[in-house]
Amino acid sequence: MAPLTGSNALAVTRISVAAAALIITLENFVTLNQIAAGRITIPFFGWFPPIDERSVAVVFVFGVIGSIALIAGFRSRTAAGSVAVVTVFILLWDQQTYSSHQLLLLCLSAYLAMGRPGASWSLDAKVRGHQESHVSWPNTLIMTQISVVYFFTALAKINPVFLGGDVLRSAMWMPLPDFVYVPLSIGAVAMELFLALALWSRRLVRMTIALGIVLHAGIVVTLDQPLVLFAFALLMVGTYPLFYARAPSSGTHPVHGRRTPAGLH
Amino acid sequence: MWAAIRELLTRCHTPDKAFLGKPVARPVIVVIVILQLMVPGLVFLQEPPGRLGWQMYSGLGEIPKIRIETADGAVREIPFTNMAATRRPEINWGKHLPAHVCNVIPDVAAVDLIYADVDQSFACGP
Repeated sequence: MAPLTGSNALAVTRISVAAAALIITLENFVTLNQIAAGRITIPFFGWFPPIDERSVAVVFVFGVIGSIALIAGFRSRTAAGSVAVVTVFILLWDQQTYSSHQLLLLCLSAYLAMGRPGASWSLDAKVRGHQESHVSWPNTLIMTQISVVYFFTALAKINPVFLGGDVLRSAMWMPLPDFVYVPLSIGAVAMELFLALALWSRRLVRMTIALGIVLHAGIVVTLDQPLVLFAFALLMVGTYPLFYARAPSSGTHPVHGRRTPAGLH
Repeated sequence: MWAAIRELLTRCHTPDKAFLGKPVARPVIVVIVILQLMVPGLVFLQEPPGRLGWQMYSGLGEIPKIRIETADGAVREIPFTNMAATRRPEINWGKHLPAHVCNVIPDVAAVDLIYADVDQSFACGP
């Protein structure tokens, strides 16, 4: 099996984040059009332009173009930056557009814009030739962000409502036997805490990635709003290759005459 | 997490001056990581639910039911999604929603937002 280099891992993250951005853009289009059609408007700032069908369409087009450019790796940093800018604008446009996956999209696209997201598997790389990225810190910021998300979402779930099973009971589209919800809720919290830490373990990373994929697949399949949750899964799981590329067996190779983990140069 | 911090401290050099053609100082990166931790940490310490806290599906917070009373004294509930585009629990619906309901539904005299523990009543009109 070919080693997963840092650039290739980042390319997977880029494509995954961009695909999520496309779905989230569609979600925003629906939400903002509802507001334009007469639902309540709750802007953060009064001086922001009013939400009407024309301005929503313009923002939608910007979002789609940025997402597709990022998937293709065309002017990747600019595309990532434009996704981040559009996301900030939408978040500030109305309080009803806020969601954790929207915020995560903002963070990840901003980190991508700071790195070399088009160094591999991109139109940029076709034009300039494959370039192994020598910039490690945006990748590391992406990874720390993912850990932080898992950690705090687990922490927030340690409360009687969630651990009592009420949240899963109301969020799952298929009814399960009542005794299942409590252990399922406790298991979800334990798994998220485990993911937050174990993704950093070179020894456990393969098993942890497999568990993470199972967790997110389970969320997408069993909970309501599967498309939005699929976008969230793309944001989270799409970063796993960056953790995997750190593992010595997966992609280490000598760079500049010294042995360097692939995701870190 | 410690591994990540250690890596940041040892490997955040930028030999190709990555960000907008400029080198990035190590403290800037460390500050970003601290913000990643500090912002949700502070949100976690406040009354839930809060934005920027990664509190999705935590069960914290609540969406009110909307009950209106018309000028002729009739009382009825209206679907929340008829008035709002999302069901975000961190929005202060009591601050925003009653005025909107009063504006868009004719002949409304009062709006009640009904939570599990408390009802909030608002009178329409000047």
